Amino acid sequence: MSSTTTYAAPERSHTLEPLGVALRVHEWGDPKAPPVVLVHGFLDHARGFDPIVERLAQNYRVIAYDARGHGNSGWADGYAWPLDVAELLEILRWAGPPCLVIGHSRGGALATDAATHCPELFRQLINIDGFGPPPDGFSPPGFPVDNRTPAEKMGGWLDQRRQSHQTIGWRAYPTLDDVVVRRQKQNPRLGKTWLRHFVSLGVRETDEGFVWQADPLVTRGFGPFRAQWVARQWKHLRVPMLAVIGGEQDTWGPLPESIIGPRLASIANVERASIPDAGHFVHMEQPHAFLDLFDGWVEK
Amino acid sequence: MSTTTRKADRTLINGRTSLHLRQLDEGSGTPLLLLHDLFGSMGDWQSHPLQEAVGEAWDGPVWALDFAGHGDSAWRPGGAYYPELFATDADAALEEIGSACLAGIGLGAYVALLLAGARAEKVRGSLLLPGTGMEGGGEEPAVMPNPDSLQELAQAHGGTETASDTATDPRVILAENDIRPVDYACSFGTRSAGLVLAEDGQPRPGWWQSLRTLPASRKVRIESADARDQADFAKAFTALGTFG
Repeated sequence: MSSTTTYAAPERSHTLEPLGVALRVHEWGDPKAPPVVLVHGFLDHARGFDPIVERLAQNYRVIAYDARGHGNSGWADGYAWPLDVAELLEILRWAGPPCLVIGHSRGGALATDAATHCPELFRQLINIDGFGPPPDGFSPPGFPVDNRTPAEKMGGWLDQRRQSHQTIGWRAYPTLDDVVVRRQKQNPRLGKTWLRHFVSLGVRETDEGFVWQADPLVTRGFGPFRAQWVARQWKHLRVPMLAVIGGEQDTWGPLPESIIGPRLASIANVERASIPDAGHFVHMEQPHAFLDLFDGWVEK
Repeated sequence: MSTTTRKADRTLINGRTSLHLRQLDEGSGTPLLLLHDLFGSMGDWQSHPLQEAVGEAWDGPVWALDFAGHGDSAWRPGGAYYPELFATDADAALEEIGSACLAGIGLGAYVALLLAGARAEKVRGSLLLPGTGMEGGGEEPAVMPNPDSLQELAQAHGGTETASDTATDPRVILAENDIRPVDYACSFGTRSAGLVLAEDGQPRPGWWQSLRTLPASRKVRIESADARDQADFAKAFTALGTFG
């Protein structure tokens, strides 16, 4: 992306509360055009789709929302996957189904599960590298594998929750650029200019400095989730799906073919695509290539 | 147990949710914490032959908790209800009353198991009684999509707008579908100091069955959970008392 890139601000913004948490929803484009709903990834926010919004808005009513606990949406006391799925379905009902849906990472998996349950709300689905974690979970480089039993892990989780519920929070960074540098360490493929825009919309300024706007509690779940459950219901998916990954290995993906392949193999109507010179954040790294792919597939 | 009944109410804060904890009875000895079933409340223990059974069998102080979204506890902001989060409610109660034995019905039984394993150093023994919310959503997710369950969640939220402040949060139905793998449950049972399984000959979910052969488990026969026979339950609480 060039250093002079600017992004279209939302033309309309709303607050919806489909399941008890206020969700911030942004819109671009003709309100009467067919809807495209954008579902962001874990710890990201709706404006992460800014690089593709303006072109999409030429033909669609573009809707992007902050998931609960993310961006400018409200916080809960604990988070559960079915609530996020149910919330996405309510957003689609509000948008006017059937909707085109683009989901990235966790948002892609959410959208795929939602489409499996309620296909009538979807026109087509684009899942960008949202095919679940690897069998052993995502373990960032340098983090040792946790071999404790579930009971032992839950003891640690309870301690953490009890000790931190008053003080739980993100580290404060002195300047916005410090946050950008931190984020770039985690996502080295994302350029500083884009990150400065993206991060500026995902932090808030406090007396101590800049902190992430997302609820720290979204990172503190606990339960018996297993990666092998990810695609368990996907063989019932009837909504046409385009499965997109980046051609380059990145911090959070793509998963090796030995994992993605079997997860997608049971889906009847799926087309796969890989975009060169992109990692996990395909729509941020190669927005034009992604949109060219999108246009071609949607027309088909 | 003291014959003088003292109903001392306390408000606990668990994360962003306030909880109602009540001391039902005083006494000297190991405290007992009672955990109600799904859609229930601490009032179930008080209006129940169980209260008599507890009174007969337990010498220590007796406490009862309303889980988040139930009884006089607040509804959990955002409506996330699943056993591990209910266990944080019970953990907040343990923080208040110290090392204790637990007795749970239905959902409360599963929560008692989780806490027995996760807080093995604080939970001296746990009595598991059958009741609503015992089953959960099975040992692994269903293969078939279930749009109705998601629609019910949205409708349940719709119900929150008309429900009274003291009613059960309709969104607790989420806890009907949580997954309870056998080996997961077993890891909690293996780590627990002691379990008493109240058996009435009726079918039990896989997670419960997996506990029967653990060294920490004792089985106590009850005639019927519905009959709520006082002598039966006193026997179960007496068995729990051996861990106190």
